[in-house]
Amino acid sequence: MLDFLIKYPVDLFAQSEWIFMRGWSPWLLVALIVLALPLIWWMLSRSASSRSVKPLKRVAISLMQWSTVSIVLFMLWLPALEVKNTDPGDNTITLLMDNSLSMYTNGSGSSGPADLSGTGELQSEDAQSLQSLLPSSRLGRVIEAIDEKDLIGSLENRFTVNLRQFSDDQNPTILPSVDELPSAGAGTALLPALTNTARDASDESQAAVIVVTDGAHNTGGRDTNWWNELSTLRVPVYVIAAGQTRFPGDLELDSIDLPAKVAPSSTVPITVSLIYDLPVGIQAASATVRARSGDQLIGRDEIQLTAGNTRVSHSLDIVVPDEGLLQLTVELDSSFIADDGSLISDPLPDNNTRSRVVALSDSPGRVLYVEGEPRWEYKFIRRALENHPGVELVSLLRTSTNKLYRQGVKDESELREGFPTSRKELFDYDALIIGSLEAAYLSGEQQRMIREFVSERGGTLLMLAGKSGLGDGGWGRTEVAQALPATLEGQQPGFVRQRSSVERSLLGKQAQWLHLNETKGAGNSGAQRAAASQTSEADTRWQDLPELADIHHLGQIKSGASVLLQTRGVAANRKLPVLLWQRYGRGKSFLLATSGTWRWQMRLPSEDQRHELFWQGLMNELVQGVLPRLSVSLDQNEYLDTHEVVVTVDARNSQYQPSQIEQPQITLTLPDGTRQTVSAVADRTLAGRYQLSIGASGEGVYRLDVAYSDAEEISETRWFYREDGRVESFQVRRNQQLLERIASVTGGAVVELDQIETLPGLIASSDSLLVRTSQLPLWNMPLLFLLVLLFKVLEWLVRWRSGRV
Amino acid sequence: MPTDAPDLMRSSLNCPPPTQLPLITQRDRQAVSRRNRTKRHRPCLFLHAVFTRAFRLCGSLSEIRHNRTINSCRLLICLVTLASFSVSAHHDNSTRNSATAEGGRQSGEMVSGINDQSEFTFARLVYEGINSWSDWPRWQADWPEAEWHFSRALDRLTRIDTHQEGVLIRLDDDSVFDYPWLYAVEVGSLNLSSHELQTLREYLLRGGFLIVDDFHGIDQWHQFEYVMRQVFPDREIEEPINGVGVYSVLFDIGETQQIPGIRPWLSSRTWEYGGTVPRWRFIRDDDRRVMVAINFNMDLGDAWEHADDPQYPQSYSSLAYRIGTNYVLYSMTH
Repeated sequence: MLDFLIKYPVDLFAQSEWIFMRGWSPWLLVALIVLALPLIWWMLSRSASSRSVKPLKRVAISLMQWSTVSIVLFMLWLPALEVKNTDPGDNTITLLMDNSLSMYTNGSGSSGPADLSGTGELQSEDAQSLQSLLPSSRLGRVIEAIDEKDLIGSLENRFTVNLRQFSDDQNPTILPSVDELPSAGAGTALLPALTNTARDASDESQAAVIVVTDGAHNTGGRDTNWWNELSTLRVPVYVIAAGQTRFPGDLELDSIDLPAKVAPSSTVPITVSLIYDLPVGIQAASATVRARSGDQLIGRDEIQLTAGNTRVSHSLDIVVPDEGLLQLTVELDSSFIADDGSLISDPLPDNNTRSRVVALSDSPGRVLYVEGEPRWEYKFIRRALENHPGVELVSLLRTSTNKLYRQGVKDESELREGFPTSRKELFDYDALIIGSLEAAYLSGEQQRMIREFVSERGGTLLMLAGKSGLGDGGWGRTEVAQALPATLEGQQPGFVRQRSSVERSLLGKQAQWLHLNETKGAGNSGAQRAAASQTSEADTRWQDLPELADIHHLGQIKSGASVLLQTRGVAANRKLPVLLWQRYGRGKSFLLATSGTWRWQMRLPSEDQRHELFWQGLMNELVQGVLPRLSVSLDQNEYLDTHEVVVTVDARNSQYQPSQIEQPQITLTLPDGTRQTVSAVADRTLAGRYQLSIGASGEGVYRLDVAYSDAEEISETRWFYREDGRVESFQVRRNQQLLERIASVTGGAVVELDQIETLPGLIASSDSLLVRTSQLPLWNMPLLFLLVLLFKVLEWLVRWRSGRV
Repeated sequence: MPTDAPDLMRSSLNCPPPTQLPLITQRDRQAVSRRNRTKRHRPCLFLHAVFTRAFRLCGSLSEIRHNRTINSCRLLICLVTLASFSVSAHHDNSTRNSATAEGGRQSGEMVSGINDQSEFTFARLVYEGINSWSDWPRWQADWPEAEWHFSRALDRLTRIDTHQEGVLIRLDDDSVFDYPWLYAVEVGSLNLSSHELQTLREYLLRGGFLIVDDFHGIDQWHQFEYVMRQVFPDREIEEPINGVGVYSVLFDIGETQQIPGIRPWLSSRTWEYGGTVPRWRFIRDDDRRVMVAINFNMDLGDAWEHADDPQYPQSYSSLAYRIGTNYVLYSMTH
């Protein structure tokens, strides 16, 4: 009956949108309806026949007439329902199956055949073995749920369904049915596969992509372009999340970070990052990490694991060999000790090892230190760096008005004329330190060169406090001030010989080099080292430090600058910054607002190395990351199951301006010793940059020799190590964060296995469907006519009772 | 050799008037007070000095001739000397304690709080040691005119931010580590306690620099060497011919020349106590840097002090300034 009165089913009203077909403004309708009421009342009041009607009844008559007029006006505007319909053939859904090795991991964590080395694809016997694992694997459970809940059937009722599968290929292939998966791949190119799927179908009626995956994206790179393209394609991605998010007892070596080059016979700190999952009930545990060069143990340490956390980064000191190549292998023991003494066995030991190849380079970073007056800081800086292998300190000291004293020069000609007067001479250094030297001592051109040393050459500038340094030396009015992380105006004089305690800022506490950890050789007591590396120990080391001899008041800290050290006491409602830095152009700049760290050396026992460690660490910060004239960079730190290596070469001339005179000569040496000459292509968008892509298929150590000539020949060598069958051993647990990001970026959703029956409804309600729109008129709805009739009858009855019919 | 009283020296044209130096005036009063007190104990100190010299002489002889009689004599003298030590130690302590009580502060504290306003301060080592023929502490030799003159010269010749007065510092005062350059005079009478020996060793190992000056002859050398052997039993005292950066860091100093004190110069000679050959010796650290510079058979302090004395040759003062400046610059660069 109701459907008859309102002309259409009730549900349709809920799913449709009201419109007016007349095209007139709805506000005009409202205005007319509102105006109609006083008009009717006025007309009734003027009518002689109605004037004798009692006021209450006159009000009722007015309302009846007003309702009738309103309904008629409403009908005149031609109301209608706008309905969106979808037909099964209009929209296409792609169901994308992740067929990588990690999808064959079962609930206990064990995966398929461990030895996939040298293949990139599974051998036939391995494939058979995997098929036997399928029912209990995470992929098998998804297939079982799809079959059980007839997901594909439900989808086909509304959409056209395409089946695809992918692993380490960026282009997914057609899948006849979910039960006919090909051999598993040794990697997962999730983002490229998703993007390519969405892109290929974007000009069709692609409604959505459903991807079955554990989120183990490990090949194809983490290029931000993937994300941008996924977002702009506007195809929602619905993720059926496979696998579990926890593997109790698992230790995983997530990454190792170390410089591309290290000095022979030096002790180098490397950062080891772990992902772990302590079993329920275990509050803390201790894991052993070892570093080897070939068969030789070059570093060992204990890492403390605590419940409530899943990640930890640890600094491990390794002793670099004397010569040759550092073929570094870092490994975690496959079992570790809980705080209650019990031994926990790692269920996934395959993800406990990573390897790197690092070139040994005995060419230290060259630092020029220009000092305007003899002072103790100068002496003790030189002493702290005297036996430090990573840095070669060349100093120029203004001893008297007209005399300069040089130390650390490589020959008689170096700095013979004082501070460099040419870009080439200055840019030969990696870092520049300026002490208590008046700005006016240098020419305007030399000051400009200093700024360009940072911005264009990519060098590092450190300015020290002093009687004639920073703002007191007039540097605030020079071009150099632009490069500094703080302004130099403010209190005059800024430099005061006032004892000050210093502490690390929050950022400073995160800086490994500011832990002032004393370097020890390999094979020390692990527990002892672990204890020493605790943050509280580092805090104690800083609290015990003697006061600085002086402090320099700086101006405002610039946005983008980071304060690493600050005074412990509060002055003028703030802690004074002591050490701060920022990036500027291609380089970086530091400010040290004191020249009184020498008191640390004189006030602490002679065996104490904190002063030396501070300056050695700071010098490492100055020279590390400084761009050479010829830089060769690789797109990844390690190549696991990756067949493409992208190499980028940046060449600069002696003044560090981009050089594109000729092609770089590149020789690739394969693991078997075969040498190939490869050519790079000049990047048209960036002068001085060349790129090439190398196809690498074999396992082992690769060597790249790059030579470039621009007035003089410069060369660079890079090494990388490639392995097969390893990448799927890592990130075995479901990467929930990545899955949620994919859903969020594309407008889709993450669906658990027990909710996959909701997927058709979710997709149908999305905005991405191709829909047909129809307009259903409502002006001729029987209900409206009945209402008009009803109001007129009621009006007649009122008039009849008043005897005024 | 002892100088005239500081009050008299201040009347020199080169020195500022007393009103500008209230702390120095106070320090002078304390020094004169100490000197007067030590005069009261002249007989005891003299006895102590005689026995000490005799003891060392016997020691030297016994190294040459292992004569039993001499060794017996040495033992006897040793006992007598011990007795004299105990007496003199008592007097020394009472002297020091009364000086502290009277002056209100010890020497190291006397000028603290003002000298950290400059980068470089001439720090003079205060130690317990007296001379055989006089009765006042030997660390006071040439003080304070030597540092006044030298500090002003250093300020004029270099860009070092130099304190104009200098500071007196003891090795049992922890603030010695705030002054990485230390001057010790007449170290032929140097006498350090075990704590002071340990502090001096630590001071030098941390990067401090010590210059010793104005001691002459084999006896004074032996006393100094004896002390330094206690500081560094395993380090050699070297006498390099050339190649030491000290001689070239600012001024190129070629041929070594004996710089005399004013007394021998007025007696028409350049040497004292038989020390006719000037010796420039060093003690180095593990990285071959000089950490103790030894001016033996020379008196740079007198050359600084009497730079304004018409009777003292300008050439010696000039050379002493240059050598001293090189010492300071070397200590601030190595």
